[in-house]
Amino acid sequence: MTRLDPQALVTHLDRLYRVAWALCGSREEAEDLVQETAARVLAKPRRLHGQDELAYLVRALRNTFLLTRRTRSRRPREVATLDQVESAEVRGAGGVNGAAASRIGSPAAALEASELFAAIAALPEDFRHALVAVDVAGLSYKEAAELVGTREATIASRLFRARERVAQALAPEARGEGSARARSLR
Amino acid sequence: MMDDDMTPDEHTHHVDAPEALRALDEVVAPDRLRLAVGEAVADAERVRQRRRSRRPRRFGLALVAGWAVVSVIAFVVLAFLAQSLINPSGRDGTTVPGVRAVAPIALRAATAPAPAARPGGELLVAQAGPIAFPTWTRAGWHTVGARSDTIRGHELQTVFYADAAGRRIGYAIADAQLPVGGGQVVTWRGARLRVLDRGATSVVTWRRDGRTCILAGRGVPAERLLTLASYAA
Repeated sequence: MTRLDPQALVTHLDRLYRVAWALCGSREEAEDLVQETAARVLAKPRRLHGQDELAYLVRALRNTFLLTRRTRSRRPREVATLDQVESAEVRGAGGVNGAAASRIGSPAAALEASELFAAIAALPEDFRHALVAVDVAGLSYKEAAELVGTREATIASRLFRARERVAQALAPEARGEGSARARSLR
Repeated sequence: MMDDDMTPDEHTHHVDAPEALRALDEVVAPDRLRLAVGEAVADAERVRQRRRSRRPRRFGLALVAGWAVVSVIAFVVLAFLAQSLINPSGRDGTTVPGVRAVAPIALRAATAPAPAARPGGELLVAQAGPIAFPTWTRAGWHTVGARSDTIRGHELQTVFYADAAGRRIGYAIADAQLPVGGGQVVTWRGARLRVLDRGATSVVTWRRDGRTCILAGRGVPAERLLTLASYAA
């Protein structure tokens, strides 16, 4: 039986980060989620049971997300004010968009990514998990079905509706604007 | 309607992934996350290699088997003794994490806003037990956020600072004396500090009032951290 090479975490880090961001809807929470997942995965040797490395890691990330969310839901909720959000996000030179832009090309691209992740995070849970597994993580329908614990046909159906909703959410009329940037998101 | 099976309409009108989803491939993990995960992987591999090198070679298995049982028992007893010496149990019976395991938290993202300064401007309202976090504004660092974590039953308060160049450091205070080994012990401006260099990341740690203080930064010279730590130690 194949063991998971710990280096797989580094190899697939970007993809795991995108999956985490899509699940959480927040860049900061995504970083924490990936680190928490890495700590859990590295705690002991892991066997792949015939799974692909990426599928295994995405499953671990999803399980950690569900576990931490369940734990968090039992705690009193902290509500952040706009000031708090701004001060937490303005880090380093250029703030959140500046930091993101340095990694994905331009401020416009960073904004697009943030909007897109927000649109995905706002999807109903079943749709979100299908879209994240296939379109963000890059798993096959079969792997996604195993991950979510459903049939391939169900994944296809959920994915169809999730994509439709994301496309609607990113449409200029849905966002109340008609800029060229908005049109490019369609 | 939340029917999971595809409708005839869905079969005939396939919706491709929105163009924008392809743009997500350009999103890559931030450097600090890459560093933290890379270090965690390297640590895990070091531990595994150490374990592997301890395994006895297989020759004369029947003869070795008897000795192996004795060795295993001896090893378990020694490991238990070593563990209790190096990693004493915490208040609630949990194992105390080491400074090296805790330090990456000082490089994580903030989850709370920057704490305000107290009247006088030298200290922040944020504190860990009797130790109040400093402002370090005069040294050119301003607070940018904070976070609280619980690691194996121990509280860890962290305040993040940034300088004019956008460099970011984290000052974490744990509510216990965390075990630490290696690195280099130095006396800097009268303060006794330990420096743990980990590639591009510098970590300085010291103890105060029964607590462990950890100052970590990426791309920040250890000397800079030592100077800041000497103010706080």
